[in-house]
Amino acid sequence: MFRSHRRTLVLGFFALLAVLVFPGMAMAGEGAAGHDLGAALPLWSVIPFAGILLSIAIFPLVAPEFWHHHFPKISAAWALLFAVPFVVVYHSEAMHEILHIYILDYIPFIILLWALFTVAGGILIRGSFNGTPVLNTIFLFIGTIIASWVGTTGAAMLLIRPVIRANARRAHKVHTIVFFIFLVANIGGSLTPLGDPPLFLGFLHGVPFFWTFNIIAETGLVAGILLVIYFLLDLYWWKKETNAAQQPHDGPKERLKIEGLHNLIFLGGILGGVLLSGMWHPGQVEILGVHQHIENIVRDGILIVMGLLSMVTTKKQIREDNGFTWFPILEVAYLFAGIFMTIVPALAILKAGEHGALAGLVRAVNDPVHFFWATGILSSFLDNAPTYLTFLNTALGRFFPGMAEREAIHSLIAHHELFLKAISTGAVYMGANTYIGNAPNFMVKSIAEENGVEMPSFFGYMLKYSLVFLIPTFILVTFVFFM
Amino acid sequence: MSEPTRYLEIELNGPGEQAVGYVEGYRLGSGETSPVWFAGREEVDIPGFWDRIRQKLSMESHVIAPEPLGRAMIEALGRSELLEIEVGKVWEIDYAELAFDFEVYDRDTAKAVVHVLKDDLPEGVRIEGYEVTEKVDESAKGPELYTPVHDYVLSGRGRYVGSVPGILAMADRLADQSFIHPDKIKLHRVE
Repeated sequence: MFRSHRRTLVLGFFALLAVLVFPGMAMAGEGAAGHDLGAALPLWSVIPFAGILLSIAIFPLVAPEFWHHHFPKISAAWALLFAVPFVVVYHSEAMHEILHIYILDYIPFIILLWALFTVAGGILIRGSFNGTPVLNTIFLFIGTIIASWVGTTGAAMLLIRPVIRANARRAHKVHTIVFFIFLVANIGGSLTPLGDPPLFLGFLHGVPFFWTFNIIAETGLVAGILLVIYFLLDLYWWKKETNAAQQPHDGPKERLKIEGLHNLIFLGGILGGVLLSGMWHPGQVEILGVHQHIENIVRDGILIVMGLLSMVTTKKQIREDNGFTWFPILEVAYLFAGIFMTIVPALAILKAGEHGALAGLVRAVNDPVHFFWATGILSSFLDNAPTYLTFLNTALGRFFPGMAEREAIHSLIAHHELFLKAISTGAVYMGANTYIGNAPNFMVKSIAEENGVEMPSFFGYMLKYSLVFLIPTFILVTFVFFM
Repeated sequence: MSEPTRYLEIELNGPGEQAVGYVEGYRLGSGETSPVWFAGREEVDIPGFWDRIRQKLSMESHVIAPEPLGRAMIEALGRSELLEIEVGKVWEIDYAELAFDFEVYDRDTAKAVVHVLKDDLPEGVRIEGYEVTEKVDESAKGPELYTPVHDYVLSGRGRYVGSVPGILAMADRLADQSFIHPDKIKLHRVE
């Protein structure tokens, strides 16, 4: 009875919504018939996009339990809030846009994250370590390096528990977890499209796989500075530890042992599949009216096979000891289903450049330094993957409005590469500025808290760490690379 | 059975460093071993906005001392011709209070925190209004990326009430504990 009432209410709400928004969007729809959708869509059509990003940012802080239990519904509500009027007004054109983004972006995006998560979750580091400044710095350095190859989430999941174990006896360990978030969960993921979701979206849209190596100097500088600061900071706190905390582990010693190493083969398979899709171009097929490149379908197939092989061949115990569950991937699947639906008008408007409703934004961000900070600041508080796409499209709309996307991206790299560097580094690095900037940040915080490390509050993290260590480093990066 | 020691809160007006120097000098010179505390150094709450500001600016100090020592210091200070500090108000302390709350996310830490909070309390200290809530949410087991909720949460609050040295010892014990958040110590003055 209650369910039936609720369903009626929901349907009634969307019917009312279609009636309310129909006149405005219909007028836009008339103007758009046969023309550029981005030039016709009104600015308020991006409200659901802003809504879902703000929901992801705000709900975990103000109503975490409600959010935990209802996020799929909230994501779906924002998606429908845009999709229903959009389809009502633009009919087949709207359906095509929606299918286009789901087939070309959403599905490959989820498959990659699932495959990396599955494979990385099958590797387990065992051993009893003593969390000295040297060992901790080595852990962070290794994490920074591998994050680009197993993804920031995979690297964080692989290393956070050994790092916590190594520092269990120490009183001063919060800074270690915070720098772990900076380096392993964010900055380290900047060198390949496997490292961080924004870069994979860039790859899906035509940025060459190895282009991201062009930001190795920026990443080297940022990671180098932060590792040196971390080492000195940890040395300072190490000297304040009690003698007991500084002594090697006194329980039964467990030697360093990495289990599930065969998953590296599958990781190689994932890398190979992604590389293949960037080099081999056998043609296209049409899926539900959307042109998809055959190499992308092959890539997704390879990734699925790699993930399945990892699942079948990895001992259950390894995943259990890693605290592995499918929930993080379900979160990504539900939330990005909403994000990719609602991002449609934002991307279309931005691609229209001066002709779109966000012409003001396109005009306002002129130089690489603007793109670095605008992408970065928004990536600090909103998810960095859609933020990256938004500013990539802002740049494309600014320099090459109306040009086919892949062609426009290649032109951007050829003529205005610094802009793409600014967008990529801003999105990846500044996800570390807050707990909500990048998905693994919250995961690391939560695992640390469940293992007896009291992490700083949302504002404490920003005031005591981001503003002190990250922002000055990013200002330096601005002067060295983007001015 | 001997009478429990009474404590005084003495307001010293004047440069904070002189106040510390005077109190420490008196104790060392007289061979007095009784402990003395400064409110500003011990997270003791001082009622009154302007008193707090003056304390922050090091223009006023609140010294907590056993009554015999406190009276002796007050009397001796009256004879000083060089010091720029003078005695303001003096209160007799009835009892001290320290409120706290905590929230932990795993059972082992919870056990350790409860042990710190409830076991082996200093002499003359009792715990009041101790409330604990335990939440278990099996659906939140394992890591989350976007919807972080702990599958186990033990939260609680309460307050310690008792003698001045006992409450100060308790505050010391809690100062370095993760997940426990003590308030400032409140001194209840005799009306």
